[in-house]
Amino acid sequence: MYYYIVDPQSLNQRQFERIQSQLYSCLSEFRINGETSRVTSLRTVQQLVDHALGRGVKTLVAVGGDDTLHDVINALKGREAIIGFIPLEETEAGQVLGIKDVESGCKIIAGRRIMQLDLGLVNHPPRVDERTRVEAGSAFLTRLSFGLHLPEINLNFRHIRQLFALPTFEVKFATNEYAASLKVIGGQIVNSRGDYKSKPLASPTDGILDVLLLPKLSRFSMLKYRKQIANGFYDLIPGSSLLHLSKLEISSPEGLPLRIGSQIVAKTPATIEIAPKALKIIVGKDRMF
Amino acid sequence: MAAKTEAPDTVVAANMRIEGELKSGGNIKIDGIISGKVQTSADLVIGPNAQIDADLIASNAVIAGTVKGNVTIKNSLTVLESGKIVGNVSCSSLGIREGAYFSGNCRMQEPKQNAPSLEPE
Repeated sequence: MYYYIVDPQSLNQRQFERIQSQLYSCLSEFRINGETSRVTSLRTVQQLVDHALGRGVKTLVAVGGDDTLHDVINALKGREAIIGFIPLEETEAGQVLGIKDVESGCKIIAGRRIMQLDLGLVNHPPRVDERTRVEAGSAFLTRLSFGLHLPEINLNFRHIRQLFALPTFEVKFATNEYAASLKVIGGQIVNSRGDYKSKPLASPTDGILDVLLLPKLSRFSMLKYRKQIANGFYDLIPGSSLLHLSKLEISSPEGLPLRIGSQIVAKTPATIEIAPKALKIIVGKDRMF
Repeated sequence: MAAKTEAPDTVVAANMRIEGELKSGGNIKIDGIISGKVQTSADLVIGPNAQIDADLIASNAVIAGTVKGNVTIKNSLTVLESGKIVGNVSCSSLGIREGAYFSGNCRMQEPKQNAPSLEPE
């Protein structure tokens, strides 16, 4: 049985209703009907996942954006289920899994090609934050970022000023083999990412996290590589560091926010590690690994 | 060295400091500061600004920076003009450009020669 967790996210009511009717029509067409629940402020993803698993549901389908998919994965908390994903618009996780939109998502769910993929884990097992008393821990299929956070960079004056004013900070981390430090403006810890050029770099089946660290660049390089900076493709920028690790502990600077997509999931100090083949998920034939 | 210049698998950029053992199954390029040990089964490139206080083990290596430690290379080692090695070297093929600095012992594996045919003609 399929359980669809529909998260309207930033869509307005009209857009959402149009996509919802398309979704229902596709579910019927591919004969993958199931129970559908909408995420609201009163019914969180966690509550819906708990409800579904309590009723013996074996396949949970996240319908929404990458944040929705990550919320569903995190809500599992070690319980076994097969995850599906139907993106409402083109997303990075959708690209990785080979799913473009609602129609292709439904077709792929119906095909049930299940793979076991690696998951990045932040502070696992989850720690209780001493100040907020909230469990702080998260899993990610795509990537974790820290430092610079620029959703987009255009060539207007405000964005260029923002780009030049990016602060540097010294990041210190340790692995089982060595300790490292570098002054950076940002970093990415990549499990997988939606870019065909990075195929050999960011595979969610290699049991490795790719760590990208971007130092302060000259103004010319900042402008030249602004797209790569905004996209987090630091490996395409000369002068960046690229390391491959299975576990690292970021100790400094303290209180540095760690983001999955736009959500802050933890703050340093934090331990990030890979859990090989920890996620059972339905993938498409156009997947990027 | 490998005939094609492929993107290195691991890159330690300038100003990055590593203390410990850096191991990789792929190519490594180092422009930063490392103390400890560097080991790869593939190719190793030490950039001109790199400062290595570590033993190096690799299949092939090009050294343009400063290395203090023993260098064990399975195949080919090239020390460029700006390269400086203080330590012992072991390799199969060695190239040292004019201007490079090398202080230490060098031990080379003899190239394998085809065994002469023992069968009477």
